[in-house]
Amino acid sequence: MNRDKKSLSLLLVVMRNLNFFILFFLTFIMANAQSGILAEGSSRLFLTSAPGLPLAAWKLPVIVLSLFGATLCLLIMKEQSKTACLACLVLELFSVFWISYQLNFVYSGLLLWLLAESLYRFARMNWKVSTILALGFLYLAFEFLVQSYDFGLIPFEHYLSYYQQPTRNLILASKNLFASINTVLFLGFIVLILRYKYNENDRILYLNSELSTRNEQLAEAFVQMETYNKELVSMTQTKERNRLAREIHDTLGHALAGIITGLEACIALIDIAPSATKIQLKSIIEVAKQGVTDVRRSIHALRPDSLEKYDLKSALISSIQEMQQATNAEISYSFEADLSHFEKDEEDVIYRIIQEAMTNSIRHGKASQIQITISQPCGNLQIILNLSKKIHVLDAVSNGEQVLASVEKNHPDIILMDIRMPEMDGVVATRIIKERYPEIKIIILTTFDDDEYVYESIKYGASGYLLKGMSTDELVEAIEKVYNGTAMINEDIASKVVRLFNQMANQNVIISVDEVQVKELKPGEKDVIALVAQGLSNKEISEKLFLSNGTIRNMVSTILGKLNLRDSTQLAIWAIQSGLVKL
Amino acid sequence: MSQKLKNRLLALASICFLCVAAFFYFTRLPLQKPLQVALFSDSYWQVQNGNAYRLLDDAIALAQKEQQIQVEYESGVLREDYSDWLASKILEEDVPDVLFILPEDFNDFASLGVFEPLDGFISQEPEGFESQFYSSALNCGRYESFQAAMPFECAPKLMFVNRTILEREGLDMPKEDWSWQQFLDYCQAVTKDLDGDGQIDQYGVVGYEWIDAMESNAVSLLNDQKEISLNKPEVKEALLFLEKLQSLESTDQSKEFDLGHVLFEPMLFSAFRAYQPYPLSIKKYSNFDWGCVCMPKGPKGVNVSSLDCLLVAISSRSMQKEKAWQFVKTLCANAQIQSEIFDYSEGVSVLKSVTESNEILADLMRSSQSLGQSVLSEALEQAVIPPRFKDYARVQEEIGLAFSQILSQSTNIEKDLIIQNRLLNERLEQEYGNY
Repeated sequence: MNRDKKSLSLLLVVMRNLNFFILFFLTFIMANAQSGILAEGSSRLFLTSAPGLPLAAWKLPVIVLSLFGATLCLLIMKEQSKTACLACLVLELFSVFWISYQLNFVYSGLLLWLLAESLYRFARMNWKVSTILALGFLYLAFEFLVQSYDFGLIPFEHYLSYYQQPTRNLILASKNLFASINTVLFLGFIVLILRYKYNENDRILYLNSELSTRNEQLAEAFVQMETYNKELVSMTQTKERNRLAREIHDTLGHALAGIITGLEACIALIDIAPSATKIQLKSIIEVAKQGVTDVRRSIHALRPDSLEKYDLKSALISSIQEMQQATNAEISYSFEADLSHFEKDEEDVIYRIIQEAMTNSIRHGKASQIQITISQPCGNLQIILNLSKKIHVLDAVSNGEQVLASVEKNHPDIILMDIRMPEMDGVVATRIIKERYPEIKIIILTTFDDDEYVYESIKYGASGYLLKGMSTDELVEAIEKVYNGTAMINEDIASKVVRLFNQMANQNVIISVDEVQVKELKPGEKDVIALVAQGLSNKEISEKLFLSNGTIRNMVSTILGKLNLRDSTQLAIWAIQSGLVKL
Repeated sequence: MSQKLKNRLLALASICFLCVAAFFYFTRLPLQKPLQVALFSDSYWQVQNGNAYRLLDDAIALAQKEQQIQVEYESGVLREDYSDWLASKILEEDVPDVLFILPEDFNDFASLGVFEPLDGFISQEPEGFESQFYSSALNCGRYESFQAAMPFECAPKLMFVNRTILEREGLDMPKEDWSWQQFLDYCQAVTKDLDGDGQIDQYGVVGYEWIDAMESNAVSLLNDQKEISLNKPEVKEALLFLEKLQSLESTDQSKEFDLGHVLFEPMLFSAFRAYQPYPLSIKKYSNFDWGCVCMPKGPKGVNVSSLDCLLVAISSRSMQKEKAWQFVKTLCANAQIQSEIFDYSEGVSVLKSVTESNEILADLMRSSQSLGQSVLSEALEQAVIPPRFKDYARVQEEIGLAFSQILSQSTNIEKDLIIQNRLLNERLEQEYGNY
């Protein structure tokens, strides 16, 4: 289709050039003739049989070609609005008519060219049958006018009389030839434009069928969307409900906790210092009021009041100070990170975390001292709450590898290790740390009480295994004990360990050996037994002890004989079980 | 650049082109310059009088003084070259604003639209403007339905009489209303062989043309549909008359009259004036006395003659038509300039007031008592103007040929007239279509 369009515009360009050339040719012939007649002095004769007055010779090409230029400019314009198109058409018709008039209608092909241009223009917009009919009618009217009305102009043939015979015929022949070429081009144009329209129609039909298919699909999709919509609505409702619950918990819980603690303090104070109690009560009222405000704001999904009024840092500080006043707890804080570049929702989260943490520490953890540290060591924000003066939290990491890195950097005394961590789990981390830094004590603090985890951690050297859910005091106590060298195992875990150990111990001791025989073992033989217990083959042992294979074989036989064991395997088992070999 | 900007520029360009075309089509450069006049250098009446541009210069001086109009003209164009020269000017679109017109060019140029119709200008003039001219003179400048040119100078055709022969033969001067019959009688009486050598050496008339006969018998050769209609009794009468006259007519034109051998010769009044015994004029006809009368009238006509008129027109392409009209009025309607015609030219003023003024007539009559005031006025008033259309000259020629054929060979004039009429119409239809 594009090719058709390209050929059409190419054809139009050719027609434009041809018509320009024709006009130039004709006006040149006429102007030349007139100047020639003037020069040779036969003007009077020329005028005798002339029907009208001529223009000066040079004016004819100038006027005609100017008009052609005007028409061309109008045609090149790609006007979109209908009125503009119509105005252009009228002006073009006028110009073409004038040109033809100047040439005394010797060349009517100009109108064909204009017709072609108009058809092309209308093909770009929407064809209306009426427009085409109007154009056709116009063309006929033009021709009719030309043939039957005498405009009193000098005919082209009259100018030709100036030229000698062969030239005259040549000129006439050329004129007719060009006019014919123009007509042929016009016919070609008609054919092309019909084909273009035909293809366009095909395309439109195809597009139509596509459209109806898509429409059906769209209808189905719409139905589906409605279903999803319903689900979404219910989900949103749930989400909103949850949010509300959370917000209420955050704000009300926080406020109420503060109030309760404060009131407890008041109860303690009221007998001793009534005035102080009053002050305390007043600050409790403030907390209550703030709580109300925050609840209200939550309902409207607004941000916490302080965050609206102040920046994050100031808001946090004010919240902390409020808490401190209400509960009489000692809360110290150090903000090592830049708090000014967070988004509003991030600020909300941080604020809530701190609030929640403080609330929990005081209500559940019964803390009297809180140390809040906010830092940003490796991009992620760390919020650490320290509840004991004696314990200084160095770092908090989120996976096993970070543990190792942190240990390298910070050299803690105690590590509170979680089991389930990405990258490297707690058990493996424990093993590695114990290998490298045996002096560091590790307390497993986890929710998992799988046998395997317990066994493995203790095997690798964990000093304590605690389950989450204990109070802060208990935790602090555990840490202190472990620091001082004691092992701390949660009660339930402890029973597990004992059971495990029993199992181990009560496993069928298949291998029994006379004690007397054991004492008779030579040191070299004990070495060999140790290696056998490690699982090495005779060859490997020989390499290790720089003895020959045969020697080793003899030695093993001797040992087996002494201990009355059957084979290396029994030997190995006995060695381990008896503790002769420590792995 | 954006499409909108492009469109605006293109629209502007096309408007520019249209303006250029319109400008060149409608205007002629330069726009303001002195009024240009076209005139030939020798006398219209083909008399060398050395007063080539005298009248024009006086008119120019007057126009400058009274109306502050600057006028220029190209001098040195001979009368014989004037047509071609004017045609070249037309082709170059450099036509002078005011044009003097030769009669042979009038029809062609008028049909081309070279002349600006003057009816508009005339109607704006005060009452009585038109009537100050001889109506026949004014009609000379009419083409089809509009006034194409104003008359500047004219000369009626009169019958010149050799008074010496008259006296010798004992005849009186013909009366003003003399008829063809009387004319024939006169001619009959004088055409004779004087010296008895067997050859006629005194003739009645020379140079009397078929057109004179037609005109004096009120024949209009064309009917309303512009077809030739010769099949009329007046034409037959005229032809019969001409036939009779043939034997009395001298074949050797003007020379005979000059030598005093011919009684009558139709001549333009200008010739009469040229050869008056004025101190500075050439005394051509000096060996005999002569006078003039009106032309003889046919049974159906009056004593009319044709009027030869030098016309002045305004170019239709002039850019200063108003000024041109003022100058034309200076030439044609100004008594002072018009009276100078009698001083420097051979024609007669087209203004009645000038031609019929006592001084002028006194001057004229000084030379010839027979020239009564009435003769001239009559001739001027009743002068007949040939039809004005494009190819009239050609048509006239064809008719003339037809007549001479009839006159020379015809046995039955009526029948031949019918035949010729049809033939002529056919031929002219072929050649000129609807002329």
